[in-house]
Amino acid sequence: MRSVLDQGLSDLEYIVIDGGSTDGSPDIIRKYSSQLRFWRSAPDAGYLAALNEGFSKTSGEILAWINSDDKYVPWAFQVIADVFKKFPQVQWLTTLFPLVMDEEDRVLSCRQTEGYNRTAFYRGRNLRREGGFYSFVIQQESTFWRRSLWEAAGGRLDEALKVAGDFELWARFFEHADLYALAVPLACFRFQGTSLSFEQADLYRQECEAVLERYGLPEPSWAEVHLRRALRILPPRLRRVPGLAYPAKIIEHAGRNKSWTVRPGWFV
Amino acid sequence: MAAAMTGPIDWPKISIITPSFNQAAFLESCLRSVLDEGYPNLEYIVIDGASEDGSLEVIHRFAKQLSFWVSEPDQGNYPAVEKGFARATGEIMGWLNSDDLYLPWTLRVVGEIFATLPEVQWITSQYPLLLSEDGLAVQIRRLEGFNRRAFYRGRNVPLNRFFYTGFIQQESTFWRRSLWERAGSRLDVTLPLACDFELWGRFWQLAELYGVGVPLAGFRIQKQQKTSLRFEDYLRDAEIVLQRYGLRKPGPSETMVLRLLRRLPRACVRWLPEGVAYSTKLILSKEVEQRSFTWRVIEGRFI
Repeated sequence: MRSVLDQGLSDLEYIVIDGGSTDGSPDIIRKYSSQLRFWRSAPDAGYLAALNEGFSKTSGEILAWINSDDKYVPWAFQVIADVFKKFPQVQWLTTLFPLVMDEEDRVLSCRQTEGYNRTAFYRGRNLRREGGFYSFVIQQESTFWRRSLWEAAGGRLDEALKVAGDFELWARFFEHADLYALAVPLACFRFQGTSLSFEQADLYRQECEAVLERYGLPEPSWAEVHLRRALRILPPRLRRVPGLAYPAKIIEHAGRNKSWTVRPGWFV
Repeated sequence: MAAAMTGPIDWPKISIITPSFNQAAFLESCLRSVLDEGYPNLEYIVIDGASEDGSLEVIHRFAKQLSFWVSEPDQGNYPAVEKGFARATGEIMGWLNSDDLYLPWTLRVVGEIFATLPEVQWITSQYPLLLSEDGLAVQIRRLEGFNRRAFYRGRNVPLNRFFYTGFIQQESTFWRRSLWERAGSRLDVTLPLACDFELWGRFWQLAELYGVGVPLAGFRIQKQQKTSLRFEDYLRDAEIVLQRYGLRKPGPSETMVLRLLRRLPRACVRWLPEGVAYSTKLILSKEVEQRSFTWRVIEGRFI
């Protein structure tokens, strides 16, 4: 909660939905309640139902959620506000540099992803699974979108699912708009022994696969996967094989005394 | 190297110096970025050069959390840093200028790396971060690594655009006291701008620099900045430093060959002889059984 409130964004609407915790969480929430637009602590119908309840209380132009064990970096909201203001064509965005931290808030890794693409997403590129051709997940806590996109995509998370609500939402968002990758870190995912059990990870993957099946794009064949892997050893410019390389959209800062710009990125 | 990240460790004492002079607008966020992390074994020293812009009020507010502070006229930024280090007693050292910022995890990552990897003498980040004047992240780059021979050939200063591989970001660099002492326990303040670079020159004589795969600090780009206003002078100072170690500037043909080699597929880089490509030491976190992490050293290579 501190990582949200300490950003000092004047135009922030922060909502906390607690499922009736008995470990002292409500006391923490109460401590910050004057800064919250809405909060409640009561048993609910599950994780995604709680998120839908939270989103139904929002009125903001830009939306996102963060799980209670993850954290934003200190500059996240200001940068997001600047970028959405500057680029009206951007409907949703995520980070190009996802961070992972441990249970004691120490950042363990920073990785540079290659960007995101609708077709690649529907073909399973952002889903980690056995034998799949996976590159990077779309880091949920680093993903922000406009209310107009949220409403066009149905304005709710799919409560028929148990855990993969984020992935299913991205699938619907991709029907409407390209995902832009912003070239600074925005949030940290907390790697915890207890955050997602192996059974849950398995369930997550199954639900994601069911989502991808709705869109019916073919997974890359064995030959295609190996062709793509082989192309990766080429210099970036030579990788732009027509029909094979995916275009991505990257937002990065142009340097001193300049501003944010959109540039194309490519990956195979 | 065996200690798991989640287990308790003996946090080494880290000494951080902040030189301050008339940067009141940024000073508070700088001090908070050091103190708010709550590193359990921190010695934080602020050396102010008799500021008259409200900096003192800021320092007074944080005085209880500082191990030492002073406000008196001094010879400038680097002499202030040196004065601070003369007071420092920590096992790990670094300095943070009053307009720059640590990130919320910096000191614990640094403390843990030095605690778990005894062979590491000094580190810097592979992901230098730049901040706008109002402290927002605007750019982060992934550097491929660092190498002694590459450093002395001028690869860490933009003397030649095609030769340059990235600065060693000062605020992201930390070292052991033993290295500092072996290197003379001093800054060369006769170089008014590139004192940091001169120190790296002496460190490289003694130990390899390890690149950490996590961002550690942000450099604030200001219109009024010493190093940005006189960037050309900084480069000139850096070149003077390199000449002390016999800098061989790349000629046009070498530059052209390098430009071609840089287009080579990454997989080919490992087959190039050392000196054409360079080996580098990187520190990354590695997952070990039971979903805990440990820092480990890997070898990389870059052109």
